[in-house]
Amino acid sequence: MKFGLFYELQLPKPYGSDDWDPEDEYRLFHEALDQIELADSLGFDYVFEVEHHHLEEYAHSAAPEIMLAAASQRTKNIRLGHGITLTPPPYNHPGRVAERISTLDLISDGRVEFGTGESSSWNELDAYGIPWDEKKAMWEEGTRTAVRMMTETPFTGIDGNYVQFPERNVVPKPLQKPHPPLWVAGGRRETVLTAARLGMGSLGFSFETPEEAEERVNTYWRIMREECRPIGEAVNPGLIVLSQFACAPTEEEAQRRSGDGGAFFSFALNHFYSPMTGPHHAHGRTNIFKEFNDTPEEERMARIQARSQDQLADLVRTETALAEKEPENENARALWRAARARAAVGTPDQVRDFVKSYEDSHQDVMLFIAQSGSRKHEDIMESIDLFGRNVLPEFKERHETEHVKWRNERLEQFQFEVNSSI
Amino acid sequence: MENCETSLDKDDFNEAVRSCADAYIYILNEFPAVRDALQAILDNEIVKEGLSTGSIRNAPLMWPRYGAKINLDTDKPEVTFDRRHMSFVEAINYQEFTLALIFDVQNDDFEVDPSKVRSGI
Repeated sequence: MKFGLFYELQLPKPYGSDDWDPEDEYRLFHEALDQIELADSLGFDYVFEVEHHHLEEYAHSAAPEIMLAAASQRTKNIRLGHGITLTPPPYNHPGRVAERISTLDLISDGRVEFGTGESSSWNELDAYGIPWDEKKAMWEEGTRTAVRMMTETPFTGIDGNYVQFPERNVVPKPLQKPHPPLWVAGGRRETVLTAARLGMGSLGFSFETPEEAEERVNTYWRIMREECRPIGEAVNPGLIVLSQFACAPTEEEAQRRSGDGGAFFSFALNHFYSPMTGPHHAHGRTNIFKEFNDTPEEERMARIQARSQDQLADLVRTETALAEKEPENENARALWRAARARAAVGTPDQVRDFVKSYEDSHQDVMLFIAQSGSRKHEDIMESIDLFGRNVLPEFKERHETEHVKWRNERLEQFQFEVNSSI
Repeated sequence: MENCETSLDKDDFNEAVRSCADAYIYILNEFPAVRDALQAILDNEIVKEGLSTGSIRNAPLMWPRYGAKINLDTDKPEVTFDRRHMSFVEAINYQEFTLALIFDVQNDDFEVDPSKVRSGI
C-alpha cells in the first residue's frame, strides 16, 4: 500500500471573532507546502488537494491547480493529485480543465493524478447554477470532454447537452500518455461501482472499515474486469481510502496532536452537507468553530450521528453508540464511519497495526488527513516525519514485492490499456 | 432488468432507465410494505427539507432524483424524463439502485428506520 496526504486546507475561525487574522490564510498555505515538501523527502507517494468553493473554515482549497503547481516546484517524486477537479462545466469548462491538467503534468515531469467529481454541497452547486439532478450527467460530459481534449489531435468538437465546442487542437497535451491516471470521488457504494465501470480509480471518501474495504476491492476489480467501458483511453485500477492521522512517540501525545481535528472535520462537513444546515449557512458570519466548541458532545452526536475518530475509546465504551445502526444516507454514513473506523492516530506501532489491516485487504493507497481542525503545523510535521521514518519504508517494500505482484496478476486479465501510478 | 442490461449494451440509456423505473413501480405495486416503508422515509423531516430545497437526490427506497422522475401521487405512476437523453452514468446508477432494491426485497431486508436518515446528496 502507498501513502499520501490529503488536504482540504481547513481554517477554523478564531473562537471569539467573525474573521480570521490577516496572516492566517497566508500561513495555512505556506505551512501546507512545507508539509508536502517534507512528505516528498520521506517517500510519501501522493498529495491530493480538494476543490471546494465557499466552504469557509471547512475547506479553503479552492484552486488546487495553483497549490499543486507550487508543490511541483518544491518536490521531486510525490505525485500531485486533484482530489478532485470539479468537472461539471459550470464550475470548470472542460477546455480549461484539459489545459490546466496538461500544463501541470508538463511542469511536474508527469506527476499528475486527474481526480474528478461533481461536488455535493448546496452552497457550491447553488452558487454556480448547477441543478442537483443534473450534476451527475454534467460531471460525465465534462470529464469525457476534458479527456478527449487531452488525447485528440485535433479535438473534433462536441455538441453536447452541456458543452458546445468547435474543432480545435487543444494544447498543451499532457506528458503522460494517453492522459494522466483518472479518478472519481465518492463515498456512496454506487460511485465506487461507477468508477469500476468507467475504468477510473476510486477516491473513496466513505471512511471504510477494513472489512468493508475488502468487499469493495473484490467487487471493484471484478466489475472493472468484466463490465468496464472506459471513460478515457486508459484505465486506472485503484482504490484510495482516507484516514485521520496523527503520530507521536506516545499515545497520549498522539491524541494531543490529533486534538479536535477529526471531530471538527466531521462537524464542519455535516454543517455544509446537511440539508438542514447547509442552505442556511450565514456566509461570512457563521463561526463554525465556535458552534463546534459550544455544542455539547451529545448534541454533536445527535446532529451527525457520529463521533470523531479520535474518540474511538469513548465510542467503544458507549453501548448506545455501538448499538446504533449505520445511517442509510450517504453523508451521514460517511460521518458515522469516520467516527467508528479506527484512525491512524497513535504511536508508530499503533498506526502500523491500523494501516496494515487495509494493506491486508489490498487497498492501493491510504491518504492521511493530517491537516484538520486546529492541529498545529509543528505537530503535523513531526507526525509526518515520525511515520515517514519508522513505518513507511516497510510498506513501500511490501508494496513493490507483494502488492504490485497481486495487481499484475489481475491486470493480466484486462483488455484495456492501463495508466496507473500504483 | 435484463432489458436494462440489453439497452445499456446498445447505448440506449433512456430505455435502460425506463426498464429500471418499470421494475421500481412494479415492486411498489406488488409489495405494499415497501411502499409503506418508502412513505415513512419521505415523511422524514430531513428528506422533506432536502426535497423542498432540491438538495437531496438519494434516500433509502427513494427513486434517485437524477434526470428521470416518478410521480407516485397518481393512480398510474410512470417515469418522466427531464431531458431528451439520459447519460450512461445516470443509467448505471439507476440500474445499481434498482438491483440493490430487488435484492433487499427478495431478502425481506428493506425496512429502514426513518430516524436514521440524517442527510443526503
